[in-house]
Amino acid sequence: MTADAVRAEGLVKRYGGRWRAAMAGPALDGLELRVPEGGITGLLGPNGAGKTTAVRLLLGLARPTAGAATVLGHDVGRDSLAVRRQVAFVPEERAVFGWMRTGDFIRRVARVVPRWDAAVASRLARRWEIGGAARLRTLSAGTRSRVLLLVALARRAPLLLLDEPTTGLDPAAVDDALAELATAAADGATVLLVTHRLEEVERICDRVAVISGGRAVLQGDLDDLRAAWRMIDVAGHPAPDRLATWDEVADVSARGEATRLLVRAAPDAVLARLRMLGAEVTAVRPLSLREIYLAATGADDDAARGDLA
Amino acid sequence: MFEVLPNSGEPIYLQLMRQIKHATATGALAPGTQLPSVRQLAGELVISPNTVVRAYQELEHAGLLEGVAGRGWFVSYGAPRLGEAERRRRLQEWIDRLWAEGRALGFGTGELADLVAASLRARAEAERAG
Repeated sequence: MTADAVRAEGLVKRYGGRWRAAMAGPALDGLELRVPEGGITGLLGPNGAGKTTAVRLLLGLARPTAGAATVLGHDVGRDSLAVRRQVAFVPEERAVFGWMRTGDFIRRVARVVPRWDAAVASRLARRWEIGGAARLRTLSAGTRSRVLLLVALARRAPLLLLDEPTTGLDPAAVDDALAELATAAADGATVLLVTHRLEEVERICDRVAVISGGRAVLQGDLDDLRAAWRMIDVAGHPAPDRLATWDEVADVSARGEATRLLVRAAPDAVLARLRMLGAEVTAVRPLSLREIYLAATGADDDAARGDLA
Repeated sequence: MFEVLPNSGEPIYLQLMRQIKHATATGALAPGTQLPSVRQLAGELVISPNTVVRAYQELEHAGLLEGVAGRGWFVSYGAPRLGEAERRRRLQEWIDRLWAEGRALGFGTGELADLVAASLRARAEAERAG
């Protein structure tokens, strides 16, 4: 049994202002989140689902309205300094320290963190062609992402909390950055990757958590999810109301002269029951993470799909 | 030497296990050969090291690999090569799968046998025709 690097229990966050609280509902609405130590977890969710709020609470940058969370065993409310010392954080907001020269920024971080690895920093600076003279705000989005990743990796922190860390990188550069995360995890770090990019999560994460409406609507081992979820197509429209009530069925949709079921577990049991209904199964196939994600978030309108990279 | 398709729907650790099994069965990975370290394979394939560990550990349970503390992972001397029994076992696996899938799709056993026989005859004829 491994320990948890991150554990959130019933996290609620309401932002101040009566209007906002009344109109938008809480940013987090009882978030339960578990990130086991070691490995790479992807935190997914549509815009406004509460990902960024969750990150701020986990770092102690904001206080929860209710609930509690620990990061590497430290309570994020009482012990946020200890948390920030041990977490290498790449914020989604990239404007920070824009006036600083790249080299000064890297040296400044190196001075204040406990385990700075200068060899990692210079290897990545060479590999990613990061110079020291340019001011951060003048760098391209991709280069700025690389600078922040370099700093996060050279800190040798036990937890890397990365919010959209590959913004602006081309596909080859993304692969290169993800490979660095894979080796950091192999060296013992826990990586929590907050992102819109499902194809990155699908590739590199061994665990996912999906947040929607301020709650975790799905979390677990990604290979186990791949093994469990199935799409089943059935000819005609047999007992559509009944199918939707089956525990294993996440979604039922009519497709012309056929019915499509998304099944989250035990496809064999569902297939057996379909046969008892006399339904003709025309196809059974595994689901991509995108399809699982859309089923879990209940996002079937084009706007929600547009959220995805 | 290995390759994974993250969006194929098949669990990645199973993809790895399948390829390693194939390589040990055919002799491409001989007994005693050291496998890439977890760190190296995770970095090369750009996948989580946990996924590599899961594949290696499952193969250790199956007797194909041996983990040696501090040294890495090796192909076990007991790893099955494709002997007669193994060849039959593997084929049987596919026959079982075909049968299960056929049943799920509503085919009877006789119907399934006819379809398989017809399909094999067509292939044999196509091969003879060159």
